[in-house]
Amino acid sequence: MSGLHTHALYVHGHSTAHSLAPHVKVAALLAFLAAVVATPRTAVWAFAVHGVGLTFVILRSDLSLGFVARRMAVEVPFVLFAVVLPFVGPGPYVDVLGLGLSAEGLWSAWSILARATLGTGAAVVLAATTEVPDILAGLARLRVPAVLVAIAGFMIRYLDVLAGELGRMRTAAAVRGYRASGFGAMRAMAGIAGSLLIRAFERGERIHAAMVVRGYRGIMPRPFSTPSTAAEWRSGLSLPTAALAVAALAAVL
Amino acid sequence: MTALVAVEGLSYRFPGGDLALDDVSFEIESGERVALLGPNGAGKTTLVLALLGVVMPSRGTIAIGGKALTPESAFELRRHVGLVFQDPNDQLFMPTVRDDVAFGPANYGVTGSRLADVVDAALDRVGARHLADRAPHHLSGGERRRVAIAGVLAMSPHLLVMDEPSSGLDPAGRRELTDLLADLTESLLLVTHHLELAEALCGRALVLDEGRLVRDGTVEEIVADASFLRSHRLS
Amino acid sequence: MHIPDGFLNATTSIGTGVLAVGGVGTALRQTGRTIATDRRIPLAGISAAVIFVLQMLNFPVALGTSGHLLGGTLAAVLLGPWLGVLVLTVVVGVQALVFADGGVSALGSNLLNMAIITVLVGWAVYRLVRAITPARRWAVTLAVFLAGVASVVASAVAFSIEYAVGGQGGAPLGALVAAMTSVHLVIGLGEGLISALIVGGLLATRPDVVVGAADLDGGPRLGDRGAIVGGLALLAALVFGIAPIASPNPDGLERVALDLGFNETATSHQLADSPLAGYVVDGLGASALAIGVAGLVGAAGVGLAAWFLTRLARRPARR
Repeated sequence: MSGLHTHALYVHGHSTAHSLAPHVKVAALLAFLAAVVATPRTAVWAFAVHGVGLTFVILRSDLSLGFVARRMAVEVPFVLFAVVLPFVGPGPYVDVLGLGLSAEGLWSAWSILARATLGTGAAVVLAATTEVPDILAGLARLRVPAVLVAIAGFMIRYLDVLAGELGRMRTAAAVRGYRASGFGAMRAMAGIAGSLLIRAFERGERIHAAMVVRGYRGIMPRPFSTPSTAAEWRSGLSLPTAALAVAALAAVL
Repeated sequence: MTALVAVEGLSYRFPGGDLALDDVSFEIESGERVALLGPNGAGKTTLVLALLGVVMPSRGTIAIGGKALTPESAFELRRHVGLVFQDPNDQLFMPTVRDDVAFGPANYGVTGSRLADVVDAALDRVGARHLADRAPHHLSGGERRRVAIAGVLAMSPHLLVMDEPSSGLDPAGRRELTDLLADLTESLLLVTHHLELAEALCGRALVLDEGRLVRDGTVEEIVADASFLRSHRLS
Repeated sequence: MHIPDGFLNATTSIGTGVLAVGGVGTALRQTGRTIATDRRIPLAGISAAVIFVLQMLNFPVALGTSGHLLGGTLAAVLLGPWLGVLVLTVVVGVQALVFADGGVSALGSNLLNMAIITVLVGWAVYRLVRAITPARRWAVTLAVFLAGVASVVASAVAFSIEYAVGGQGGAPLGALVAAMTSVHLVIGLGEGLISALIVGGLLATRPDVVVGAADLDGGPRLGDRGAIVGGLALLAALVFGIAPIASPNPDGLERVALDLGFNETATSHQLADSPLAGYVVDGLGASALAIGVAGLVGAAGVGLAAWFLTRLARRPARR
């Protein structure tokens, strides 16, 4: 279509990770990331253990490592940042392949790359094994304010609709010979964005009318919620518990 | 017997000052299927929104089942009138089909297993139970239309109001929709400018043009009146 | 600029998380009274979708780079500051949890930089410029432009401070700040320009949707004193925080000097020039506080001056 990716990362499957209650998964992600961030950067072995654990979960989730790796493209700017650090960091310097590199910079680069990779990988597992409405329901169960969950629900629902409108407007501009360059491109983009906003606001009013005629009085009903069992919590928290133990051990050593 | 809907001397003026509805009066009896015809800009959508108390008339009265529609009674009376919007995207706003169909009854206090039953029953009536766990934006045009209808049926309305239900559907989708609507037992107010759909489903038609009710008769006689149709941009 | 996991240390992640919760909580309280009863929840949701989509459109900026809209100023002016904060919060949160874009443990920093600072600083600058200019369309457009520039630069400055306080280190801070602010000044010009073009266009066709300019048509002013104060406080905090880091301390240069054996001359030159040189290396000392206070006083002075000018400008209109 327009090359805009508004599709969530969800991959259909029937693994344990897919069937866990969403709020368990969100809580597990947070706990795992806390462990990753708390692990001292010099404890290389601890990061290796985190990595093995995450890889195990990825494979058990019917996801391929290649899929997860491709989704990590969002880290690229920070990878570039990390790559620069050994060259600009302060002394002392160590000799690597004939280059005098900053030891501090090397450690920083390692730390950023290792943690960002683990973090993005874990977030991809959540997003790929949980349908978006379930992520929202999970957030609601974890007491994220209802107003935010409701706004997020509307946002996700209308992303595709808006991206479609945007794509059609760009096509309409292109078929009339429009070519983007310089300030003119910005003007054209602003014009398209303005039309998109007005259409969105008008749609917002129609949606509101559609809510009112079905009895909306200001409170979004949350009709169905998923129960979770102790077994689900045990299963969901197994990786983060292990990771926290590893982080604690690494901090002590 | 009290009419299901009684509209008396209804006028509505837009905030900008233009008259959208001008002294409109009609009644709809229980069990009737009525087409509301008219060219673009005739005031059809405004009339529909007025029937649901979304816009309040500048003059005149509306009664639903003998009870006057006021800002205070609107919430209660809306339960009896179900509106299906022209663009299902405007109506299917919840994350899943199940949640969307549950939205109306949940607002009226239905909960738990009764709510689940109501939702399943409504989806069954439109043949869409298998779509319950899908996200609305992953449905086809025809599926969206049916689910939108289920969302309104779940409120057990006495009158079903449909705004251009066939727009955006291919011929097969239109035929399926016609079959579906023909099987429904609720009273129907069908807003459209497709005469074929009106002929297939309704016995009576109201014709609105420039905010005025210009004809109230059988669909047959109106469709046969070529000069009338042409003068009101219906053919 | 979505910070990934592990870029900032745990303490900073938690600290920015607390600040973000405070900011979003305030926005929830401020909108809470009215948000449920009017049509703003669907409006906010669909606006979040628009901003998400617009953030994916790159625009060319000078120097061969491209930027994309952050949308904070736009949200503030079209929805009001507090609803704007909520909308951007949802955008950033969904990006992290649904699209794995931006670390979940860095969510606090990302919310602070991209949802709270952009909106509130943008709004404060917008209202300040509006206060000292006539109530005309061109003035609204100008105010949006300046607010857009300020919001992006403020966001970049916040990022730099967070990195200085709790980053993984390794980067020469002075150079980092210089690079971040200069690149984002350019991106900010793009943000300001596009936001201004959008708002200018809307004012010409649908002025009713520009909530932040309702006063042009004699509409009600938003009850937004808290947002302006919040935005100004953030601005002051950013100036206070960045001043010591950004002061002349060219670590990169130092490195080159060291390599070339010029270090002594370079350092002594620096010391001779600036009493503050080198303090970043051993943390924030007393002199850092002094510079911070100076920055704060400066920001407050500008704010006061603007306030005073506002009163001067308004008085004749009332009579």
